[in-house]
Amino acid sequence: MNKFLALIFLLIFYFNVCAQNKIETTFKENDTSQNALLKEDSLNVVRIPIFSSNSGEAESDLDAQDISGILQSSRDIFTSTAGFNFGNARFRIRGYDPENNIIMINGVKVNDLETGWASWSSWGGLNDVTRYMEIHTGISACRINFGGPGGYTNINTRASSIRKGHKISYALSNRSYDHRVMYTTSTGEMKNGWNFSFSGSMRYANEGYVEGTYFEAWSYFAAAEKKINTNHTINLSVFAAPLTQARQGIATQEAYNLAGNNYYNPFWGYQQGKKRSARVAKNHTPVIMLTHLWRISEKSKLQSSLYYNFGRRGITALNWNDTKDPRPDYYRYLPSYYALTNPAEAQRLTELWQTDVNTRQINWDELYYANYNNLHTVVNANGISGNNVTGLRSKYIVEEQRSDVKQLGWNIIYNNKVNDKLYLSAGYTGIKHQGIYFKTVNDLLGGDYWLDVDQFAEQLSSDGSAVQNDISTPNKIIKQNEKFGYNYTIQVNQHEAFSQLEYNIGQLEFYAGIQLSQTAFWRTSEWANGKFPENSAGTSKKQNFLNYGAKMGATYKINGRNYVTINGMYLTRPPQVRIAYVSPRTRDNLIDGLTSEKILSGDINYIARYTNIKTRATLYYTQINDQLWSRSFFHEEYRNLVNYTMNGVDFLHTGIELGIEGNLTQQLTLIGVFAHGQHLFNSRPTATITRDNSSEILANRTVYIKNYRLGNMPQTAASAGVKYSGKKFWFAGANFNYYANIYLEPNPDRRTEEALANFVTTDPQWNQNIRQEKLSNAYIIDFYAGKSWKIKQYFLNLNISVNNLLNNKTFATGGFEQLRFDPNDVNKFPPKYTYHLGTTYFLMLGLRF
Amino acid sequence: MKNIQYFSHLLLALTVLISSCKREWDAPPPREIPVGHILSIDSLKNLFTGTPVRFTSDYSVYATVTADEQDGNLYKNIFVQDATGAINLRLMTSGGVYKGDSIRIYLKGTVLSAYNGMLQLDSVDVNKNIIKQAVQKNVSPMVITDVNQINTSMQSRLIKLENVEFVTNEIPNTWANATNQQSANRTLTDCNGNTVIVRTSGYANYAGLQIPQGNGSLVAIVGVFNSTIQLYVRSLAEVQMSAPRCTGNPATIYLQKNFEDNSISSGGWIVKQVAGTSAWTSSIFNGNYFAKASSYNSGDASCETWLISPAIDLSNSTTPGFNFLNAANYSGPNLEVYISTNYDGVSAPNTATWIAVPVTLSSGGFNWVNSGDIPLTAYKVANVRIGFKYTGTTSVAKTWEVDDIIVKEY
Repeated sequence: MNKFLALIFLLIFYFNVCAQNKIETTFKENDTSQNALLKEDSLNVVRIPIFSSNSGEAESDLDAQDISGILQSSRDIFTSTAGFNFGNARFRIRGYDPENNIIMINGVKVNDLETGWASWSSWGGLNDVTRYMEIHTGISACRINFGGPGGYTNINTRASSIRKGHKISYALSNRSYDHRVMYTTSTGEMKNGWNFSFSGSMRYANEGYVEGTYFEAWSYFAAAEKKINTNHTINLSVFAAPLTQARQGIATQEAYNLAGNNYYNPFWGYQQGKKRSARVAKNHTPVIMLTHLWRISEKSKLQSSLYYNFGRRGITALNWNDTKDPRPDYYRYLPSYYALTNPAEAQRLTELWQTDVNTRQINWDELYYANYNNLHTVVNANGISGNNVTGLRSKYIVEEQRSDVKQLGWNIIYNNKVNDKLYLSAGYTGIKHQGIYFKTVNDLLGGDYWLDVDQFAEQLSSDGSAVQNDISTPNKIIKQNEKFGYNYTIQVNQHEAFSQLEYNIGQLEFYAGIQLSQTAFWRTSEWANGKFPENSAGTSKKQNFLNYGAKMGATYKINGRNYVTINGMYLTRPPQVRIAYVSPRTRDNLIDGLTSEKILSGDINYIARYTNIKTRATLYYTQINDQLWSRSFFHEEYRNLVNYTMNGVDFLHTGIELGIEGNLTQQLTLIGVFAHGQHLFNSRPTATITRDNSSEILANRTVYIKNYRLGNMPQTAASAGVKYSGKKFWFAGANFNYYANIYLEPNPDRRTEEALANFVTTDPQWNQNIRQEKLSNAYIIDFYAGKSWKIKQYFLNLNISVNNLLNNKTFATGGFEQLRFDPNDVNKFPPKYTYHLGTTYFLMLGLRF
Repeated sequence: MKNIQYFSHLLLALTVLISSCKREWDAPPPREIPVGHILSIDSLKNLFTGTPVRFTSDYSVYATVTADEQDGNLYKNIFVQDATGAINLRLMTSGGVYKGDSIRIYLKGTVLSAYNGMLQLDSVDVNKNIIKQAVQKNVSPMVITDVNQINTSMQSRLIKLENVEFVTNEIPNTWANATNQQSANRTLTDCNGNTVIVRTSGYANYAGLQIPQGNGSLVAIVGVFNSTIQLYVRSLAEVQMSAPRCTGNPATIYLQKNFEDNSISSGGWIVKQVAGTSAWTSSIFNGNYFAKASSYNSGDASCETWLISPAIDLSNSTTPGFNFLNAANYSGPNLEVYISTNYDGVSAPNTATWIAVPVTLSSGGFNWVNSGDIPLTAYKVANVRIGFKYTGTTSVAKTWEVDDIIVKEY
């Protein structure tokens, strides 16, 4: 106990050194893990029960867009609170991007090979299936994969993982969706050795919390498992979560203020009196997975899997040619654009914004009228001489940007408990991935055709060839659902092997693991782009990367209740393929200086597990070096769309995590969770500015971004909670969550000598350009309650959770500085902000039998 | 088995449900834009009496588009014409109207005004003010053979000039400055020596191409800038100037130097320093490069620097000559210009014989003047060189600038 107090003292000292703000730590509580269903498997008993667990009954709105990282709760109070409560404020554990967490299904890595991110929406709505997941936060021993610096999650989708019986639930909410119906059933293991499970759900909102956000999502899951004999089990799982979702856009504070609403959404507008969104995501990417488990002996097993993931991912957007920008919040349509030059016009626009919904939102009818009126003849259409096509040429269309996927993967995992002291794991995963990118016309908006030319390339050549997106068919006439613009494939092949040894000597446990991987990627395009006829079509040169990783860790058991663990990892990994090409839609130029990312990470943890008090305290330190950064935007200085790329972008993540859970009485539990980090840019990268339509390099600049904070997340978060569990199967609780150190994501180009060239350091504009905006601290109160009944063989449960009880609608959780900027007036293109939703609720009634 | 059937039924049902979910949108019915009172272009222009006229009621003009923005020479700017006249339309946003479009212009919301002598219909919203009737109804240009016939009453009309050519001095030039995207004026002449300006935007997609050297026809819109006529070419394809020039010969240029490559020595030019340190260098002002010399504040007790042309072969010429532009400021010795036929291109200038030629010099204030044509008929040999001699001291020094040197057949 003395050691425990000493450590607490040390940690408090650390707060006061590292954190300027003094945080009051009181006890708090968690709302999860009622009955964690751990499938006991003698081989899988987690030897060091640190921050791993299988998740409990948490029901939450996991399906908001941008779901990232670990949102499912787990038994570790820090991890579950971070996911369940802090997730609403965009908190990220240790400030990591999602690629630092390895997500697996039945032991097979499913992180996207181009981005490194796992797409949680791929199994959204399958909560009854995905609740059987194993989560580790941070570096740890892992018997199925090397894992990432942020940890790993393994979702078990075997038929036998679902509880026998039926489960049906209905939920009412006001977040992304209003209604959810879910049904799950399993036969359990039948006499013939078969086990069948099924789950399906539907979630729907005509309009979610944010105006103009339609939501319709289905999900289906089916699994069949056959126990051939005591040694062999085979399982086939099929699942997907088809989703159609009208997205929320974010805007400048000026637009929010004019609309009188911090959830103003510029993506929708009225068409013939009906709300229509221009930005609709539509995904359907089924996964088929075959898994064979071979228990070679009592001490060893071999699991092999083969899976295929395929389908469509698309998002719509407005496109236009030879006409004005249809987006209502385009900067020239806002009063501020005229504030100095034409106050009368500014006043007129202010009134229109406040009173006319068709000014504030997309005016769909006007887009139709413009198309109706654009009779036009395309001469030599489709490259056929003399083929003159006359008709209504759409000026405005809705296009769908597709990023389809085809991914074949296979993996083998071998585990062997050599003896009581030694445990060996090894595995291999192979993945062949194709990302298929193209655009189609989703809606011609009353026109007859779309002409597939690039209007911004008209001045590049006097013979007109540069405007052609596909030079084999110049002046291409595009009808509904036809492809245009670009049509290319990114292929990635990856082979990855890992091995791990765990060794246990009395009070000390060790593990060490290594990983080797080989990644190759390349681009192929069917079309030659008129701007880059030389390097746009065909298959590009393959890029090869050989990477490795090593990790080690040790646990010292002070006694049966107190542990100290230390973990370290060094890892290299291939550059993010998604941004390795400067402008993959038009050409195969790579970012200069493409190199592997290097990650060095370590943490020290103290864990105490007493009957009435459980706690974990962690210090971590992580360097992520040599990342790429790439965006395309309109550059004011060059008056052109540019590709802005940086290499050698380094990040530093350091901080502390603390979670305490204590039972005051048998009924009353208090929890306290505290996270304080410093998540910083840690280098002065070199930026290359390239003219998008000619690949001319306009400039190389040093970006003075070192020690700027990563934006869009609270770097400090705390939660205090209380939970009361009644004797008659009911519970209720509340959490007080506090967020601080939230910054806007900085625009690198504002931190260059060139951007500041016209100012002396004493000029206030100097600071306006380089200052990073810190957003206000805020607190949010959450409430939840539940009750369950058992009537004969029927279990009935009712849960409610209310987020943001005080309806705080002014808590900006993040945002970004616009990349387009004017160094002489940084407020000309002001930042865009996102706000925490006001009061939302989730009410669920479930029946199990 | 029963279970498998059960699952397959469920899956089938779900598939049907999912595929049946597509939101459909009603297209709005066409919007009727009233015609109102119909005006001819001539009567429209007559409404302008010196102050802008904003249309607030229903008027329409029927016309055909004669020039659009496709080549980049015009921006937010098109020309239309009917039987009675032609006018310039200023668009609120670029694009959407093309040459040959037969349109109705709904005037409500637009403004009739004048800009430097040019009548224009301003604030035209293509999506609201222009209703297309038909496409590919091309207007034939009015044919003009005597440049003197062009006058301001023809403003905004489409014309076709025949038997014209660019003046010899302009021949090496491009249509405009494509690098800095600056507009340029080029002088066009008929065989009687009547001239007119052709103005081209630096954003035109042919701005960086050399203007044609021959004689022929050109289709353009008549523009007016105060009292000056300037023509706007609407499409490079309509510039057909490859026939022999008025003289019957192709333009013969023996040597040309405009310093636009920011190099003093490109093309074989040499700088010879006789005394002091200040030398001829390439310099820039307002986007134009030229050669410049000044010894002011150089510390040179005396300065003499020569800019000497490469050897010019005039042995087969008929009536050769040259001219150049020069500008000066401050006070000091004047620029001197010499001809030599025996300079070796390497040694000090005083090793050769140089004959001074009289030229027109700038009076100061950095005003550019033309030197006047200097005949070279006395030097029809193979090794002719032109030398520009600058002299000055650190305290008594004029700044001299030289540009657009051209040696040609007259």
